[in-house]
Amino acid sequence: MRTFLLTAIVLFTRRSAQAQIQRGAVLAEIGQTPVANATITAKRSKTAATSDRLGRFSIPITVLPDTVITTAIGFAPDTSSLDALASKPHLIALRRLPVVISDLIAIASAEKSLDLSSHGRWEMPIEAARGVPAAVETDVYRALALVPAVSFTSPLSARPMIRGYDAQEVATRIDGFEIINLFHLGRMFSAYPPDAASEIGVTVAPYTSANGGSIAGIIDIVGRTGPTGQVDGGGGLSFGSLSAYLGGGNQRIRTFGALRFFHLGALNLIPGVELPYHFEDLYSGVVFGPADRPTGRITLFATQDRAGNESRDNFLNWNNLVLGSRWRLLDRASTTFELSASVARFQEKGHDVPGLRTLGSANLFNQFSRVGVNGELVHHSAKTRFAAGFGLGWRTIDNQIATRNNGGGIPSFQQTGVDFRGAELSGYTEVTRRVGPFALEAAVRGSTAGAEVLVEPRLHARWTLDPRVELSAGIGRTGRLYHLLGDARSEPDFDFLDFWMNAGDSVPVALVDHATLDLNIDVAPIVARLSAYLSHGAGIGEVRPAYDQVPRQFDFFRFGRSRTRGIEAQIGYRGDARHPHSVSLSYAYTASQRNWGDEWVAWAQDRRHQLRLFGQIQHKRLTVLLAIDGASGPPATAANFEIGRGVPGLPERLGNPFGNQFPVFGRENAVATSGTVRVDAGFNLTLGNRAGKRAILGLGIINLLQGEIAPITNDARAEGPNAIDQNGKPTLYRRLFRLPGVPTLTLRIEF
Amino acid sequence: MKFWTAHRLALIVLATGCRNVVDIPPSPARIPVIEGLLIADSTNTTLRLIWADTLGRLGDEREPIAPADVFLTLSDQGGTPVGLTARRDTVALFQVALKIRPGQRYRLSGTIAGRPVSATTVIPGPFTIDAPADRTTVRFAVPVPFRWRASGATTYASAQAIFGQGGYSHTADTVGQLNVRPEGVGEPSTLIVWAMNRDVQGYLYNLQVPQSNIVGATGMLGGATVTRKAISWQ
Repeated sequence: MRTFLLTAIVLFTRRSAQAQIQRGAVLAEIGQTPVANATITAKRSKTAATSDRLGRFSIPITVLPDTVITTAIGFAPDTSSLDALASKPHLIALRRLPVVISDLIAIASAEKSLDLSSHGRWEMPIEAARGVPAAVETDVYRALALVPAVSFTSPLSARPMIRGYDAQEVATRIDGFEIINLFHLGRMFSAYPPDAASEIGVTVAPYTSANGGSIAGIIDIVGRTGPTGQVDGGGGLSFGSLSAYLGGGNQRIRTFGALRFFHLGALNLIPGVELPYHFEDLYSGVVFGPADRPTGRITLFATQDRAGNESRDNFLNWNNLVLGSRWRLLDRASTTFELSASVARFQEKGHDVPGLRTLGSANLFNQFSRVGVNGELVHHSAKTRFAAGFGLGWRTIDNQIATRNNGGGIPSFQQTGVDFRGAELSGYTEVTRRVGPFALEAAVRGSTAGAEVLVEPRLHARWTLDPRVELSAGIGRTGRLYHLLGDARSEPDFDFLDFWMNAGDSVPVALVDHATLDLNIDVAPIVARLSAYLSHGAGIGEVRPAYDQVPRQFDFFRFGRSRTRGIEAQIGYRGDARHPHSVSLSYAYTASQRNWGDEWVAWAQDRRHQLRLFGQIQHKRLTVLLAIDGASGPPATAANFEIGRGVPGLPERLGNPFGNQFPVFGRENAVATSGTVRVDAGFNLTLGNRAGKRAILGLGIINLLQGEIAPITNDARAEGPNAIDQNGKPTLYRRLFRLPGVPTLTLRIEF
Repeated sequence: MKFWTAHRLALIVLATGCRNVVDIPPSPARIPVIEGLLIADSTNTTLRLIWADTLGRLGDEREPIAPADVFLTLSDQGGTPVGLTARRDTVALFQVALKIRPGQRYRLSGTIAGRPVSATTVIPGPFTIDAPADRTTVRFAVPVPFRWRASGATTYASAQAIFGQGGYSHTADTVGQLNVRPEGVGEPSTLIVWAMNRDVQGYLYNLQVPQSNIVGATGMLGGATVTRKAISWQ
């Protein structure tokens, strides 16, 4: 592999000396805030680049003068001329437009960019996320429903599952820094305040090699940056929560801060149990250096949740913290070097926490943290891009879960006592070469922790068939050296136990090999995207479900293989600037299976077909939002038989301690269940100046038609009428819960 | 369920506005249930063999497995397999004459109605009770400290004891306190404690759903070591 890479570097770099590199920055016209992921195209040079989180870019120029065309979601396209290369950054100021939902479908780049990180990526400005009818308020995770690769177990969950893999296999980052467990109570909402987000990105595996630590995909939240030469602020009010933000600065330093508070005197998530609950979120970011060439950024994100009564020894508290800093130490036109350092810590402490699927309660103390330093070197010329990076980290896992009543019975919770401390080391090399209409990238990433070593080779390719049609492909391996094991479906009980463990000994390393294909078509006003994917994995873990009665190595967990395949088709229509109506229709077919050692069975959240429609109509100051989500039901496991225990020779009191009958389950997830259809709607009324001081009054209704939105199950907790079988006979299956229409009123003020 | 059936169902369901329909595959053939506890130092073990009930048919109508359908043997490490034979005094019970030794592995294998069945279990090692001591005097509602150990045991149970606040007759702890059940207060009594292995724990004391260690059937082949302590009431 080393020889291959060295040869590739030599071949790819030897004939690209003619081009010169122009640095630049893409900023919003008002406030000079950075525009991330803008596409910058040099028309005569036939080269392209993508702006980074702070709007910076470097583009190869071979012909002068040249015309530079810049496009970005939510902004009017810009054309500027470049008459001569300059050491000063080429500044591109974009005029903001109303974001339309259809823009989220990736638009084919007009030229051949050497940056292939856009393969398998969806970008969503926070304005687009606000186009999803809100459940209580806009949520950075729930808004990912706009992305066909993302699915959720039900409207009560904000856990984003990606292409047949659970949310626990997905990594989330804030400004590129790892964040652990970004959830509020019951995982119904993310813990990130939407006012603090400028953009949310989803990249499905196999992502480029600068990233690791996830086997399914990465969610990257880009925090907002304070404007230059002015002050922006605002706030919002919704059910139980109050939020505010403020940002501003000058050419030397720009700051931004956002706060969110939520308080409820008596929360009744658990039947018969009312608990006080409150949370507080904080995001703060500082950007250093001139707006057109920032030199560094510091990000602070902190959140705390308090549920229950600490004075009564019945509580669950958790805190989340990320502190990160990234600096560009070398900023030449063709070569950059960035160094970053971060601390991420999730801490959870609970006392007498009830276990709803069990009879007991638990005391728990969980703390997961990582301290890391990363470096990234990028060098590029007209036809070649070379990147290399390293990462050093120290990860600690304290996972202590103990039953409340020690000395009585067998533990009703899975008791754990993980206490892991270990260094992590990673590195990657990536070479991209443009050959005619193709851009090809070869990369390898290596990671090690303890005795485990992980090597992840990846290849990406892009073929620009036409300025409006682009085909890209990726194959490669993703893996990670530790596991986060939870329950894919926590609702309706909102169980909140996490199990973390490092790979090693009998715990396998999670590895998945992926192959993906994307076709992007942009024939205005129609845009379309078609994706196909396949994956095979090993070392995939999950909490062992009750219906798994087969003897296994672990009592409470299980590890096995995975395979997924699917297609996603998305088509959108976008109106013009004067009539920014839009509609996006997507269909996703996903088949996800697991093999726990016996045979291939459907994954518990394998919903196969999902159809989504999002529409947005804007008339003067009123915006009407509509979302329709239809999906086939997740599979269930049939209980065909039951038995009563009676072990000869054992006293009856010992031989059948919990009752007479228990079910014997059939083949796992072999029962097909009917699907769910949900219609959500919303209205936003803007008062005041659209671009300046304004107030936005919003009304959202989830499940407008009071439809069936919960999966069907034979779980004893299910509600409502019994389902019928294929012969019309009543069965023991019912909907997991019933949720009436949920209206939400929000008020936002911006200045 | 065939692939096309799932797709047809999905489309029908979406088109008809999501009725509550499930497509349940045909019930598989009957499942045999085997329950056996191998107790250290015993020479004769009884196992129960029945057919699992179809779900919803509650009652005591356990259907025994006909002796003619049972071809099972029990063997220890390196030993000669010993066949199970039906007991003549009752239905559903089979016995096997084999000395059970602490710390040894035993394997049950053969067929039931032509279906291959197998299971293995390891008997816990010698069971030592440091406390309570023999002839301990106990008083009503006064906890008695215990300290015991048996290698390979994950659960300790006694029909005469209550462990912790949950009122259980079993515990995972090797050190703690127990209350002697007030049955026969004032009478001389015996505290019989069972040290049982993980296979028993998974089947009898798993609060979710019992886990079976039998391949090709359901139920349990477990191992236990038993120790007794005389107690007297004050």
